[in-house]
Amino acid sequence: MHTGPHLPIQCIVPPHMLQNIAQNGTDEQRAWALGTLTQSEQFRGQRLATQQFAVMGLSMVTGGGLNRSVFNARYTTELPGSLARGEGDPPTGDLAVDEAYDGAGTTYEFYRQAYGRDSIDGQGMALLSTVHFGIGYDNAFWNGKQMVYGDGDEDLPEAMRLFNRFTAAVDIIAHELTHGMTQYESRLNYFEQPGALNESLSDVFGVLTKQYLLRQTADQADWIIGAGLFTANVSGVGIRSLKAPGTAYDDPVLGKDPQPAHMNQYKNVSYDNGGVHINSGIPNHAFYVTARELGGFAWEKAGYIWYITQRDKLSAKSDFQAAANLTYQVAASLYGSGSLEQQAVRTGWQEVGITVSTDTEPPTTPPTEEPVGCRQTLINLLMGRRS
Amino acid sequence: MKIEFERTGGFMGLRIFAEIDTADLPPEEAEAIDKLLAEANFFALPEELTASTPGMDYFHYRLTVIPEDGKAHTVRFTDSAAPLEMLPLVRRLTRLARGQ
Repeated sequence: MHTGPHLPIQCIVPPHMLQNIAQNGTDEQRAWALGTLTQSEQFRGQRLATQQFAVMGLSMVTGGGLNRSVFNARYTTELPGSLARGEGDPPTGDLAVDEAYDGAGTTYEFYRQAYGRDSIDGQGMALLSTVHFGIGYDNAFWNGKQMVYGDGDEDLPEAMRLFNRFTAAVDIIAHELTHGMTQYESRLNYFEQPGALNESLSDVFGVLTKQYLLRQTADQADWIIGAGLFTANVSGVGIRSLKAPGTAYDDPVLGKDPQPAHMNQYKNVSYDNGGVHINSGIPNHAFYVTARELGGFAWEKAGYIWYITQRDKLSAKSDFQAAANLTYQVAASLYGSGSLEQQAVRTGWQEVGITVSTDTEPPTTPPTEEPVGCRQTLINLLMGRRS
Repeated sequence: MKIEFERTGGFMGLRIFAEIDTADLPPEEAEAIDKLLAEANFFALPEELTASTPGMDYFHYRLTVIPEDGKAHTVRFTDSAAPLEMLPLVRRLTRLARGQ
């Protein structure tokens, strides 16, 4: 990355050092130290922080509102590459650049309108994307700071191509952006069940972004991730199906969609971080069933339950059972105990082989060691206390 | 020369794997791979090249090359951490693993 100063995503600079800077530094250093603390991915009390900043008359570095930048890697792997389109710039005519720009905007508007959320971190964080990454790069990823998209099989003759450019599907863009959000909220580990939940949240809000854009109800939507990504040479409708995991593709070259739709088909594998892109089929399908049971626009109720669970309840080590229990709890607090919404959540998890439990209260707050170190330091700072 | 190439992860989560004996390849293909290995300075690369940031949907690669003298070298790497010179080699091996 060559975009200005390095922003630590964890409390890398020791809190006591930040405290010194904030108390004795120049105004700029002071703002940086406070900014560092709030940008820490371990820092969850961001709404509190914003209020405190306002009290102190300091403005956040990130401003707020929609702020997109799309970069061009020009078929290298250098990130971010050169700026191709900034916020408010007219279309460039480069399809990948314009799709990345529009897709980030669609996703931003979806989160803003449906859930009142201001960007990845909830505070207007700039949305950075890079397109034309690598040569024949059949992938898209989130690197902890930005979204990155390859062009698929652009270097092959058309008859041999399997993949189109990865900006072609808006749900892929929303999938990557949601990885950023997960990094700021539940911070789910990227391994085994927590990793599969991390993947599933990206798929769920990926399809919801597309459904919101098209104003589709649950029964009208295709529930496919990556429709349009395969070329006509591939036998498949997309990468994954939330409606019918395991059925998205079956192709001589790519093989068959390996996703399970039920716990009795859970795949214990060592590759893919313990099958995070495979076992995500299980929570994906639980969400689909919940939305199907409720009918109407899936983002309004099922999506809202999942969003609040991601924002306030899930933590780094949450597994499928914890997600089931927490979505069930959230449904009760939003719509009432025993409500149709809560019953739909129960049915959703039941159909994938998970019985929600209310016997044991799973931890609803993140682990309290280091995050509190960061957070308490900030609070002390704002209160003018020495730790 | 024997080559083992594995790619896992990525947005699709598709695992691809190829075991290649360059003696079985058409001579021009084998020569091209030799040249790409040299250009990437493969045998001088560290065994682990991973990104400094915790990314999601990265490809994870493992490439093992066993030359005729038998001294195997393995490099594990992720997308943005590999040197630019590795790109054409990775692309070539990906296509071989896909049977292209």
